[in-house]
Amino acid sequence: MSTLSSEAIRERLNATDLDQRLIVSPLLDEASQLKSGQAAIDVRLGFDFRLVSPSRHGSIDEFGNGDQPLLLSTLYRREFVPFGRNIVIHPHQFLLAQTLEYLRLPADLMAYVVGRSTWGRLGLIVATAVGIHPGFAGSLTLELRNLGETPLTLYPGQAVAQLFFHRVENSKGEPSTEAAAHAQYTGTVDMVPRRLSDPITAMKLRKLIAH
Amino acid sequence: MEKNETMRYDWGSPQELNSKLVDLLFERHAGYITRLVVSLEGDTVVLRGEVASESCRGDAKRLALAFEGVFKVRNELVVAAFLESATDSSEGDYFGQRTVGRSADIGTYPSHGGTRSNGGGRILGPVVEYGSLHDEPDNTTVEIERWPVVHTSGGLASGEWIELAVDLKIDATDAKRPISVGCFPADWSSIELSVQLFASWASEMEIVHPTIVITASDDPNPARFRLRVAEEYLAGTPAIVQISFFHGTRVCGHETWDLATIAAAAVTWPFLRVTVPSQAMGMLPHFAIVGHELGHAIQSDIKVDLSNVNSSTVITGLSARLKTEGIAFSRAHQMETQQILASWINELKSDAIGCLLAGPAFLFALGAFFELSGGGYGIGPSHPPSEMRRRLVLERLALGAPNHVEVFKEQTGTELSADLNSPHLKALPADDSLYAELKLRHGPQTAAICVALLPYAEAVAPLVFAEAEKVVRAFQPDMVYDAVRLREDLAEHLEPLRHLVPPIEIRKAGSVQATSLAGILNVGWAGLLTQLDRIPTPAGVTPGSELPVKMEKLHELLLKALELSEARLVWEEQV
Repeated sequence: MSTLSSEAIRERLNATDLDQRLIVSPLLDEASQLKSGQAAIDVRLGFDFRLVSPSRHGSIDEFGNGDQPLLLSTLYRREFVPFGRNIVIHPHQFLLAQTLEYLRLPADLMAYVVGRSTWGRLGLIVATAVGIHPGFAGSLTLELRNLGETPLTLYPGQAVAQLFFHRVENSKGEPSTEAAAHAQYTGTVDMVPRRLSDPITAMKLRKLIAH
Repeated sequence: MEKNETMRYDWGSPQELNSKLVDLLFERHAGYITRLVVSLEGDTVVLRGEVASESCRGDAKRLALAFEGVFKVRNELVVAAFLESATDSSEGDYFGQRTVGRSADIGTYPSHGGTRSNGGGRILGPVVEYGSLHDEPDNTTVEIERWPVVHTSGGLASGEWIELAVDLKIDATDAKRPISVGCFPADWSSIELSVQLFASWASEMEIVHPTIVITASDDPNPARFRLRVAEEYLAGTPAIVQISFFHGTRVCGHETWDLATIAAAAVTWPFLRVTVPSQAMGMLPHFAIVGHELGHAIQSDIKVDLSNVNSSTVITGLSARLKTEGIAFSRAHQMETQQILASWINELKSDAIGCLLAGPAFLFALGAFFELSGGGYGIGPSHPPSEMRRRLVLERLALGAPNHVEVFKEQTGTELSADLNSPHLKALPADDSLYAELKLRHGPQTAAICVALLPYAEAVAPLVFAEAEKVVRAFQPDMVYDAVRLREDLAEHLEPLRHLVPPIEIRKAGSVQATSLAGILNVGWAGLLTQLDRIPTPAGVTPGSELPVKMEKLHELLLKALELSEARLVWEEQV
């Protein structure tokens, strides 16, 4: 599994063949977000945030309502923050944010999202679920947590994370073509997950809990 | 008694009776009502306060008795006999004289006899100051006129306070008519006038400054009031304020304003407010209908020369139709025909603007809106028939080379027909059947006019569309969404949309730009109408619900495109 250089990333961004094209859009300032000699694209904070209100929930229990599935959307409060405004993440606070960029990975590429070190040194962790599968299409959700001791003011448009891209190969060492067909978050623009467990797992766990 | 007239005489509370009685009395005796308070004692209506004439006092009682359910009135109104209007004055009334240059005798002026309470507790006397001291009275006089104007602090909202300034200016282009302040020595410097106002829509009034001081140099000091809009006031309805001007006890004049109109006009321009029918906004692509509403905002800039269009058939057809109903064609019919035609042409102008700004997206949104609006033909005194409007838009989209119809077919493989997104829109029936239906709703005369106008509207439509295009190209040529731009957008975005890539940016001549709103709307409609079967079905979708899920997904992508293309534009504006 090789990592794409900035040249290779740029080539993929401009590919005429849609099956080969990597889409990261909009790149508001391509020169600063995709620097020559590096192997990543910087991504910016978007406008949509979700905050969890812990005091409203004793615990997040997927099976706490018996047969009724847990509606994860009820756990979050939405904050839309336009350009020029900000949101403060307090010490040890957790919130969800979206990348400003819409992302689509071709079938033979996967990516890792990694926080930028500048922010990391201030205590901001930008992603806990760091892998992005081939064929993913959508806005990327960042799980932000402030591990520092100082509140951090976040502005949409700030570059807080970076994406590293890797080729995905089949068993013969050729570019994979099958992964895209199985992508779960195809075209997603909503950062709130639909479910925690897949239906079969959920059904079996419910039966075990009932016993 | 007419229905409206009947409504003026019903009442639900003493306050309403008070308000309506003041309004009625003011119409007959404007400037003669100092104060009028109506109360209810048992089954007796009691009138208290002060008026300026016996006839006013008598009319107050007669008008009170005209109200529904009022059978007993006790009239305790006091007549203050000294009040007299300048314009009705007798020969001996110094201030009533309008002859300029007449010798003045300041000594006859009743400087204290005419004091009057202004309702705010302050006793006012007439005040005239002179520019310089004279040992001898100046033998020349001037008649002083001033133009009354009012200003409000803002819009009228029930329960809220507004500030009102009343002024008298030397020259006021927006004033209705001048007030005759009276004749004064030529060397006058300032004159103080008191102001009295009635506003039945106000529940409270505070007098901030009850007088206007006018000066020879037109540097007046306005009277100021605060009025609390009654809770019952319905926004947008007339808010009449009746204002009388006094010099001492003498009535100089009075005027009436609708503060709702003044407040609306006080908005700082340019300010464009566009309202869109709610049925049209279910999904983002319907936003194209905003193009039509923008057209209404600029319709007065589109001037269409109709002198070469033969209109004789309209009158001929209308006369013949009316004759079958036993109605003779009259000037009133001609006037109504002109009004309906003007309204129809405004709709066509707005359709033309929508078509220019949004191309096929406007056609799709318009058709969808017509279908959502109900099962009628859309024709009436305010609008030409929906089917005609849709067809005229399509005809316009088919003009030129390349044109939108060709490009749509080329890029989507689907014929751009009038009913592509509105297959259930009813076609117009034959004239006689249409007339019969319209007659039930609008009456024979309006129905006859609408039917007679149909061929004429068809004839003038190309002129309207051409003139609208000329206006837009002259002022905002970049806003015209032509067939070339449609081709660029569909070629760039339609295939990626099938791969769930929203139309955020477009590559043009080696650079990347934000996709225009019109581009997003057109790609969206093209995707919805021609590509849904090629968009992958999201995982876990119940069989049978694929189509609505795909539509929802496509809509999400279009909203995302709008958000991010706008973000790109905003970012680039920061230089």
